[in-house]
Amino acid sequence: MAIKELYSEFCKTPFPRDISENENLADILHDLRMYDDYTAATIDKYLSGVNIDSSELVYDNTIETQLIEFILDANNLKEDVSAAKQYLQYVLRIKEILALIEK
Amino acid sequence: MAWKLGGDGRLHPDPYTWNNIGRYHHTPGPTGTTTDENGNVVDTYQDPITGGEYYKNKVGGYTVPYYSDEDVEGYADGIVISGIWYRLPGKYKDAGVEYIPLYERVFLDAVNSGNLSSLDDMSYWEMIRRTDFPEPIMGMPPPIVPGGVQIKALRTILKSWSKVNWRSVSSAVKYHYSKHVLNQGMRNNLMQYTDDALKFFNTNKHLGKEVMLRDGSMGMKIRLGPNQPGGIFTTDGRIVSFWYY
Repeated sequence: MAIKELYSEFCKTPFPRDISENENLADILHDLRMYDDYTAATIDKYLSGVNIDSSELVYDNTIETQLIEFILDANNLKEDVSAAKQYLQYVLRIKEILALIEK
Repeated sequence: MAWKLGGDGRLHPDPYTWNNIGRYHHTPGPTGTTTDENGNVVDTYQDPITGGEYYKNKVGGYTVPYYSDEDVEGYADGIVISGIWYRLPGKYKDAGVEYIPLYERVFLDAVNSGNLSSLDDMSYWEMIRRTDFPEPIMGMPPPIVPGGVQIKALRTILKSWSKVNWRSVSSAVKYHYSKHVLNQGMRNNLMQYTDDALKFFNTNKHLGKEVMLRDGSMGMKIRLGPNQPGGIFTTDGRIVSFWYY
């Protein structure tokens, strides 16, 4: 799928809802919001022909790593882990687009 | 709303869908005929507002409202729809007929239908940003279109949002509106969404926590808890993001 189509599909993806009481996960979700806004803006500029530094289009795996650690932490509640998995799915969509651009 | 390219090389609204979103409703059928300035025989209609007669021109078998240079004041640059550049009238001199510029109609229609993608993003937003909006003419009620959207609210949107990393405020608004309203299955229009965000900020700013935005400036995040509204704002209260859940 072309980058533009993939990004268009991504724009139609609802942002995951804030459904957890867990403060740690809430912080990760906030970081995801900021990252989502930043990457979407950067991809939008890229697709519009705006000259941007290629480093801005490199995927940052910080949030993905935090979410995986959260999911694997046996101390976390089942419903929080379920929420974290939704957030992970979302960040992997971003990763997919950036990987396609990097090619 | 459907649009047709008229014989004068300009874009005109489809008179049938036009009637669905505006306050300008003509009688169902023609009330007679007359001859236009070019000698063409054209249908006349009764204007429901003024009670007077007006006429419509037939272009290529398609009936469109007839506008001449004398009918309009200025031009609103143009608009790209489906890759074609159209020049649009600014506003109509005859307030009894219509005083909402056509490009605002395009905008309002897109907002109310939730289909912003039908428009070329930059051209129409930039056009709106650059243009002074006409004030309602004295004695006339403010224009209301389906969804309760008022023309003046357009200004509020553009000055209420921050672009932070985005190439334009309009791109930022469009993205967040899609992510947090349309794609969540909500039907709030853009004005309502913006208004909710501003009210949320004013009510809850004392709960905000300082955050650094991606452009290095300081902002504020407000989170009430799970399944509740929240937002990210600049310190002066412009919206960076706002969500209902």
